[in-house]
Amino acid sequence: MSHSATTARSAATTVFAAVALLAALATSSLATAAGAVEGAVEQQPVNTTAIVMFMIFVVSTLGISYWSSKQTRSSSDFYTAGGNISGVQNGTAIAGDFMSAASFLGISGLMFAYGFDGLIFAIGAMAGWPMLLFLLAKRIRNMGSYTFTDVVSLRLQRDKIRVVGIGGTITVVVMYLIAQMVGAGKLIQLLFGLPYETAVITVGVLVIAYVTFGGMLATTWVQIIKAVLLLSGATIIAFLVLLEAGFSFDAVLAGAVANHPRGEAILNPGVLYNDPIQVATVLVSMAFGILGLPHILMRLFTVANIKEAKQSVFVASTLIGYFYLALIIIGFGTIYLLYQQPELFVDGKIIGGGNMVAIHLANAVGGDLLMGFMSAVAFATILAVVAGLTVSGAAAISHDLYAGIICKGEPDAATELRITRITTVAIGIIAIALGILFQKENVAFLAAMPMVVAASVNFPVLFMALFWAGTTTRGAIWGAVIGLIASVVLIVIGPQVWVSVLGNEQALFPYNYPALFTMPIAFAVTYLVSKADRSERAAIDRQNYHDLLIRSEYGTDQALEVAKH
Amino acid sequence: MDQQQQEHQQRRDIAANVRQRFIFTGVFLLFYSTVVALYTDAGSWLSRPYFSDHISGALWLIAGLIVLFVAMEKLFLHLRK
Repeated sequence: MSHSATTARSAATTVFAAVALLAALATSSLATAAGAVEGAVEQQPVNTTAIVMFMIFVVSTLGISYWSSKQTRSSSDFYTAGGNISGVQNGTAIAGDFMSAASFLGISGLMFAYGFDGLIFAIGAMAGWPMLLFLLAKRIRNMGSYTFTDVVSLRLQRDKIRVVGIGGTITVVVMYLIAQMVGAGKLIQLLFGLPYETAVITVGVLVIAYVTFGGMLATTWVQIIKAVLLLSGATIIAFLVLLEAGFSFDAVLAGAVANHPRGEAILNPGVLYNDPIQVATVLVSMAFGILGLPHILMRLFTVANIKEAKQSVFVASTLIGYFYLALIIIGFGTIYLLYQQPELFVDGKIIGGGNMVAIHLANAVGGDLLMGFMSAVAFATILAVVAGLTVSGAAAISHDLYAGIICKGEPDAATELRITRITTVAIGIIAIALGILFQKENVAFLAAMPMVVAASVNFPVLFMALFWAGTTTRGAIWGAVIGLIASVVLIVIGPQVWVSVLGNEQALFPYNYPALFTMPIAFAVTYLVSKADRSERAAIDRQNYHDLLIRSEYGTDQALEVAKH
Repeated sequence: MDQQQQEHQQRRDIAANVRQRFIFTGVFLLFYSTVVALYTDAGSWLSRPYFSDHISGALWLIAGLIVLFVAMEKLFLHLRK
């Protein structure tokens, strides 16, 4: 059997093993997680405003996709919009990509339930961006072409490290997709009274249409429009909440304290978490997870140069920071205003569950018009994030697997583009299936799981390849594999799966977000195996670091030619 | 300057750049870790309100960190212009 065939088979095995594991988890979840939804999701009267706004968004974004399809003629156009996006546009699109349904619906839901402790997720989600700028943006932009796998494969043994990159990407993308699709299903179910499955299928079909025809260009503009709409909506809600309280945030908090069963405790840490290690696990998972998210890293290649790439990260960071500041007001605003409306509660639980409180708040402060607008925005949010994930997943299969491994970097351009589009359709269908399987889980917790895997698999490989001369292919592979196994095992035996999903009395591992432990394990294994590696390939890997160092800092091409694979 | 000297200079510049990046990252992580401190006895003094009747020190800290992180990025970009 040829080397490439063996490698391709290993890649397929890795990818399918990850998907099979997730499918197994999904099945067990279905079997045992009944009743996980907080409160009943009742069919609501048809909201014409919401439907009209949503249809305007859909028609305009489909128009953009049609226009983008005329510009998307090559794989480069499909993966990175030909590198023609400006820094400000790209930064806004990154913000649009990252400010997910979990951020908006999930964090406001956690704050409604637990007050201050919900903010741990907000500060965690904010914290990855400075590190992306300080540590990775420049070297990734200078070394890569379409995906983060390109970056590491430039230095390490191309075929083998691509298998690792594909496995890491697909695992993260699939887990992230689940969170997004669950949010989409619940939102549309509540807003339109449509069955959950119909809602999820609608999202899947729209995303397939956007990405298949418009590629990264259409995805970018969907994300930009969504970011502008979401930031506008969050600003309006925060403004109206403050208006209700006479423009006094202090009065908002006073009202929240008066309404919430926990009283003053919601203003301080300790309601949801009281163990500092548990908090550290969340913070590490969120911050370092961002540094390994393939769909975010991929966006660094959609701009023309390193200056624009850095500006992208700064713009994204500023917009995301502003969003989370507004979310502080919105989160406490939900406690301040929604507890005053008993019609929103059935058997003591809010209609639609905690993930829907932001939408209820929009209705409370702005009536049907604002609720319709925010519902459409939340739906757009999900579409934008799922579109970004789909592009990233498609690139992993068509660029990293097909073009990089099977065709040894010399694919037929038309075939590669065709495979990309077929993969896009396949990912859309998988997203629909997973969305239906995972409908009983809390979207905020689900969103944290891919962060753990990204922090423990993709980030260590990327960081060590970029910053440590001693990293070898063997070390990187072992680090990634052990990081993935450790992440999956600790998540499965943690409270979220072992207790909530599998129904056991007590978790074998006490934390839901184990990156605090799994990431150092991945780093340690990479270091130790690389140190012990005396193979011929190890010598080439070490030499490549020095040859590529100038390129990684200055972006010159001459070093690329001397790198060996 | 011959090619060897030029390359030597480039590597010294790169080392300085990397040092600066790690310093920024280290300072950032120091600030970030204060969130964990909120959940220990060391952070208990932030549980009471400051400058208002209800806005706790912990809330000020979270809002302040978000602003600080963006400011650090701005400073980093300025220094590396």
